[in-house]
Amino acid sequence: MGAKAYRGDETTGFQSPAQDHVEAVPDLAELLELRRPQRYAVRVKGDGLRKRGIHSGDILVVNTDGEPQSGKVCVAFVHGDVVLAILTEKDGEWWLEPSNYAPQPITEDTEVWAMIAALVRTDV
Amino acid sequence: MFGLIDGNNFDVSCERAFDPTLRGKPVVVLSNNDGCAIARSAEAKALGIKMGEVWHLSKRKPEFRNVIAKSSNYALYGDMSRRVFEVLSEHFQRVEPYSIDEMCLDLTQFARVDYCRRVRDRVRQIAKIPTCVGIGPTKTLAKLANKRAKGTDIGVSDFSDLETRRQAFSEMPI
Repeated sequence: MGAKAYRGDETTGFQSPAQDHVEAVPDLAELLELRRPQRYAVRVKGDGLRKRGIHSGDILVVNTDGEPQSGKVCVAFVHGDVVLAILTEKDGEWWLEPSNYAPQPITEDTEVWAMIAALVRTDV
Repeated sequence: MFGLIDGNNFDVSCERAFDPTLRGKPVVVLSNNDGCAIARSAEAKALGIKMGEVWHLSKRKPEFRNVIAKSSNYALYGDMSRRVFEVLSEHFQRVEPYSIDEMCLDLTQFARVDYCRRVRDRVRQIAKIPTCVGIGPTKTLAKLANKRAKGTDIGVSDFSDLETRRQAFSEMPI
């Protein structure tokens, strides 16, 4: 408790040969770019997109500035619900395929909120 | 030249960013311990709810029965304010937070109205917050211009021109 962070340069016996090579713990916030304003961490509730490898309890890192791409998963507003949906383009028109609704054309009642950028699972 | 950008009904807009059921409805955000209405959606303002309206006295009024009241969530509003600040910092050399929902911008080197409109669209896209921008030769005049921008379609009002200011002042209670 209260110990200084280990740096490898304050040994009482033998000098550590690693003292110039101690690295920081991997910074997942950096890797997932969580400090960028367009990145949001959201928790998944429900197994509707298990076929896409997204499980209930997963944390998705989503990008509100992500480019919409056909076949990619997004967070969407559909008739007042916040859902995960597969975004698809058919004959020049964009559709949302949520797991709990029939495919929805993108209209005033729907909104692509963010595109999925990364997934974090803490209970593997 | 300065810009003053602020979030429209900021706390309500933060709540709406994550909850589509709040859109188009009268919404108020309450102060600590749910005392007073401290942010009101346009629909709530239209019902006559005043800034600081004491909510435990007003919530039973029949005309307010459909108003959705949210307890304040400052962790959320602080985080959204950070996002707005960071988007602005990508577009302006100097951004000075003035309050949780207002930031002064240094506009010295920019083509003004069009650029501010584009930045406003970026803030809306990334931080999901609708904003207005006022432009003026001083921060005070930028703030006045911002007031003028509220309710306009483009959400930007430019007071850099003296004639425009004269015209606007004649219509303001000052």
